[in-house]
Amino acid sequence: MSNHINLERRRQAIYGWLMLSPAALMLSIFAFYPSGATFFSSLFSKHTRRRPSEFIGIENYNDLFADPTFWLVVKNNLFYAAITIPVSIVIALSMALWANSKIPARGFVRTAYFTPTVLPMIAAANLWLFFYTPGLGVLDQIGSLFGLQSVNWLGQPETALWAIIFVTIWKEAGFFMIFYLAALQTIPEDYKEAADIEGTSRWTYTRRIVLPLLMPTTLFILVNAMINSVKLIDHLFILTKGGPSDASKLILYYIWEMAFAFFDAPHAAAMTILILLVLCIVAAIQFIYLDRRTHYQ
Amino acid sequence: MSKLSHYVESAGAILLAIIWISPLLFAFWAAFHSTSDAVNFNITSAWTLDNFRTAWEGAYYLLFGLHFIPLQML
Repeated sequence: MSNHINLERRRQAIYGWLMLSPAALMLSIFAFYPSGATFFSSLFSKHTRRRPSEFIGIENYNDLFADPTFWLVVKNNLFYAAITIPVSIVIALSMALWANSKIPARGFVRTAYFTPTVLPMIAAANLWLFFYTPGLGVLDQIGSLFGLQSVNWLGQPETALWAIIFVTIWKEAGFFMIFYLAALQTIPEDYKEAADIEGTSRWTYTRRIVLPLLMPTTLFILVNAMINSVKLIDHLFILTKGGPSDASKLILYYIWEMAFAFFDAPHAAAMTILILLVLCIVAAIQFIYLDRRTHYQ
Repeated sequence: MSKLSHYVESAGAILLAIIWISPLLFAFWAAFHSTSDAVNFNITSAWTLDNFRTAWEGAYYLLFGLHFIPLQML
C-alpha cells in the first residue's frame, strides 16, 4: 500500500517538474546563465593581445568606484528616476480618472493620451530632436512668438537631462494610464452608490476607496517605471549621445559605451552586475514591504 | 457647484489631451508639407505628398514588409 502511495507521489513530482521545465529552461537560458556569465567575466581583466585576461577578483569594481564618470552617471540616473517615476504615475492616474469619468469627447481624450505610447522609441526621439533644435525647432519658434531667447535645450548641461525627462514622461504616462484605466473599470459601481448615499465627498471617495483599490496597479506600475528608468537608451542615442560633458548620460548608455565604444567588456560586466544587485534589492523591498500594505481584492 | 467643477474638469482633461497629442498632430501636418514650409510653420502653405514619395523611394519598404512576416510568424 505504502509502495503505491510512493509511486503516486513520484508520479506527481515528475508531473510537476514537467510543468515547470519550459519556464525553467527559458529562464535559465535567457536570465540565469547570462547573469552568471556576466558575473564571471566581471572578475577577469580585459583581454589584449599582449596581456591575456587573468583573474583579478574585485579589481574591476574598485576601478568603477574610483571612476568619477560612473558616479556622475549614477547620480543622473537617480535624478532621472526620481523625477520621471512620480510625475508619470501622477499624470497617468489623473489621465485615467479623467478618461474614466463622463466627459465630452471621451474617445478623443483617451486616444490622445495613449497615442504617444504606440510610437516607436526612435521615432519619438527623432520628433523631439526636431522640436528641441535651437533656432529652427518648434519650441524655439513658439518661444520667439513671446519674445524669448533661443534655448539650446539639448546642448546645455543644465537642460539636457530635463529635455530627456520630458520626452520620457510624455511617452510613458499614456502607457501607465491604460493599467489604471483597466483597474478603475473593475471597481464595482456599488461602492460609488454606497458612498453617495452616505454623503461622502468625491475627494474622500477617491482617497479612501479608489486609491486603495488601485494599490496593486500602482505597485505594478512602480516596478515597471523603475525598470524603464534603468532601461532607457534609445532616446539617448538619438537626442544627446550622453549629452554635453556627460550631463545626460544614463547608466545603460554608459554600459553600452564601455562595452562597444571603449571595448572594455569586463568593466561593463561589473557595472551590469551592480545594476542587477540594486534592482534585485529594490524589487525585493517593493514586493515584501509594499505588498503587505497593498490590498488585493 | 458640481456642474461647474464638471465643466472645469472636462476642460482640463481636453486641454491635457490636446497638449499630449499636439506633437503628433504637428508631425502629421509636417508630413504633408515641404520641408521649408514645415520648419517655418507656414500654416497656409499647400499640402503635398512629396515626402511620402521620397521616403518610399529611400528604402526597400516592400522587402522590409516581407521580412516582417516571418518575424511575426515565429
